[in-house]
Amino acid sequence: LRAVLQRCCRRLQQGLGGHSPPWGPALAVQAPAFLPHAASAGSDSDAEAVPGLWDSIVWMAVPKKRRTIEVNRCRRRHPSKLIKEKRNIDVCPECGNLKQKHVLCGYCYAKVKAETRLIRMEIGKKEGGPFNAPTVETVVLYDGEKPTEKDEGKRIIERARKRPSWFVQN
Amino acid sequence: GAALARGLLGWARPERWLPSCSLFPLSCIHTSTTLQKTGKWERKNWIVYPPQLPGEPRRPAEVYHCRRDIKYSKDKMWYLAKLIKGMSIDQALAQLEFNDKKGAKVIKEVLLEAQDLAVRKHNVEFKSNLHIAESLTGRGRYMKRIRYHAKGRFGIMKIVRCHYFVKLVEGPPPPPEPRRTGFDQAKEYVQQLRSRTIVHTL
Repeated sequence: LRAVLQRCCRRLQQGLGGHSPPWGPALAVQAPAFLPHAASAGSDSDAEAVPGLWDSIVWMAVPKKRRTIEVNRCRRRHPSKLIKEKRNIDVCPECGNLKQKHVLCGYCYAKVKAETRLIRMEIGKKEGGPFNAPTVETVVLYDGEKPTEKDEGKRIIERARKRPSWFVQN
Repeated sequence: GAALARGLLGWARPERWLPSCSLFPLSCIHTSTTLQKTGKWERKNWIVYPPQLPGEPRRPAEVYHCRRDIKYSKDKMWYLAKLIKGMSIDQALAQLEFNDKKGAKVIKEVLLEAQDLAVRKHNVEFKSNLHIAESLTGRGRYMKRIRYHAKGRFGIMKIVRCHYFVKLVEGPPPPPEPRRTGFDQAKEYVQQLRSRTIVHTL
């Protein structure tokens, strides 16, 4: 069995010989990074008139000592950096999901958004194209509802479902 | 090229794949699949205690759950783990729902999975009667990639992953410890002074 495994090893080696590991191209990239330096050093060997990066490094702000893990922990775990607990979370009286006090309930908003999208699709079907919006009001009627006297001149959109409890008529 | 391939194989080490199929006398050890070992945290769920004696106080149920190799940083995940440590599970879920971090969504899924596990398999009666006893993050497997800079320079960037571990215990969350006041510290100091003895004497 060991001999079989060793043979598999050798086969893998041959197979991976051409493949370079993910950081293999580092070897290829190192060459162009070093070559310009070698070329410039060779050409400017007489006088270093060109103020390269090497001169400005002298007066750069640089850490003097390695920051110990204790110091790092004091900074990272300082109470100002910890996430504060939110005290403005309540329960939505309509659906029972959680909501923030100053924000609309996400579930109810999504529910209304979905229904609005379907109503808009119906409107689109009725209009048939862009720029065909009529100059009168629109009324949405659900299953088994008739237009009242107040909805005389308005455009009527039919939706083939029961009226949702949150969409109050008139 | 050859040296790199050998280095890669040194990591792969197929000779080590054999022991995963060897027989153990204990039946409770699950034989692992190739290169996949059940972590220590997952094994904590397999311990079975002997039945409790009539006089003993009731041992609260514990559930250990984790998620491996989450594409997030362990340091960033630690802040969320620190937030929910010691909270009841409902409070923790509420806090995570309204947190904007990427890890909050992941931890929320893990907590819901753990709650489900607790109710189904670990004999927990009420799913709200759980609190988070421990919540930890760990470093996952990092990958190194090249980050290309200007002028032919390059840097090596790390693609960072983390694990998240959580332990849920049945029962209400423990009350928070009272903060150590100056008076407490002074009392301890005086106690230390009083308990001094003179060495090498009668």
